[in-house]
Amino acid sequence: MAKKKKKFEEIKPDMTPMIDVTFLLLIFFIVTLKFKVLEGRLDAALPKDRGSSTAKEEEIEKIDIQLYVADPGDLDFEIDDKNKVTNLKVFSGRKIRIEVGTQKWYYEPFDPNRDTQNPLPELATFLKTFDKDETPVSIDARKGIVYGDVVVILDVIVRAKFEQVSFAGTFEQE
Amino acid sequence: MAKRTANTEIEIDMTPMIDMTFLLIIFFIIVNDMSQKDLEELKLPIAMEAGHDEPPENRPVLNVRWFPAGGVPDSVIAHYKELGIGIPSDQEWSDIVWKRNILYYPFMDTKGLTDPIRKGRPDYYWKLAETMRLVWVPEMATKMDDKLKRILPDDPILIRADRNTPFKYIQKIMEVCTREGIQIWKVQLAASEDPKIVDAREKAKRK
Repeated sequence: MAKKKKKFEEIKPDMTPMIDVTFLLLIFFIVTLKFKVLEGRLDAALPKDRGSSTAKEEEIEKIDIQLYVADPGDLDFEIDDKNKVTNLKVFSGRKIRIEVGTQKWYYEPFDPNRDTQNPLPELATFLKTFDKDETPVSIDARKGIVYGDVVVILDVIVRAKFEQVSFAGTFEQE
Repeated sequence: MAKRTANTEIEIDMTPMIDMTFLLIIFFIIVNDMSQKDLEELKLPIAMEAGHDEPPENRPVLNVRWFPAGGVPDSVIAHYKELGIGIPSDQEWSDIVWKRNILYYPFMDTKGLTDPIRKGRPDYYWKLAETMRLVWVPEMATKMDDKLKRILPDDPILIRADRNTPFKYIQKIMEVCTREGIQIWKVQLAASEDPKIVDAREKAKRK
């Protein structure tokens, strides 16, 4: 017969599996960790000039900003061992032509001497002559224009506090 | 002095370690923002007036990625290989990603579908249009427009594009938004704030 057990034997649960699991969880969350990145946004309306309408269109003053590529520039970048693009000095020498009616301005996105606070003073001054609450503005990006170019223009327009901003449809073919 | 037996078991008290580990786990769970899973790694353009983004719950996010010729990361190549899709290596190209699903890629199989707006042209954006029609429009809050007698989704979509993406892709997305049965009319473009301005503001706050 077995010996009589002690009356107050301490019960010790085996902690090892719990610690194992806990560590696994910990490692999982450390590995998947991605800190929240703050991003901003610019609002605009979509093109709505689809289809035909018999309704008479009221003559309203409208600012139609056309963007052209004056000089595409050279694509300059390096690739790391995982094929990831690093050191992208995009399109050095790139030049954009902005046309509003008969007015024309040139803009170099990668000019190191560019004032980042006020990238297009001429356009900003021009926009001041219009009523910002009533005048619709449309951005018409032509062949070769990239997203970054458009955002700069949109930024200037939003800064001038224009309420109605829209985009023109595609011109480029597939 | 009391004599010790030779075989005294050494027991480490595990309680503080477990406590600490749990605290760490809780910290990482809180810090880890799962809502970021929609966002692909992109270089957004910089805008001065980029308003701080507070995402509405059901707003769809379209990511437009851009890769220069020869500059496709291995992870992207592997993803395409899994799907059995060949990608061009000798030219720059873009794709459109929504919740890790690729809705457009170059030379996508058009399955004989044609563009409803430019009749006769192949429709490379059918998958985007289909997904919008099936997933987004029913999901988003809708309201009736009395004048036009049609249902308008009231929520915008957010387009996050790489700063070097040709704008025609964004125009194409906008065009798809206006297609029959979708008709989303508001769009938001993602941009990041100028790091210099953010720094300056942080400094001013500290003072």
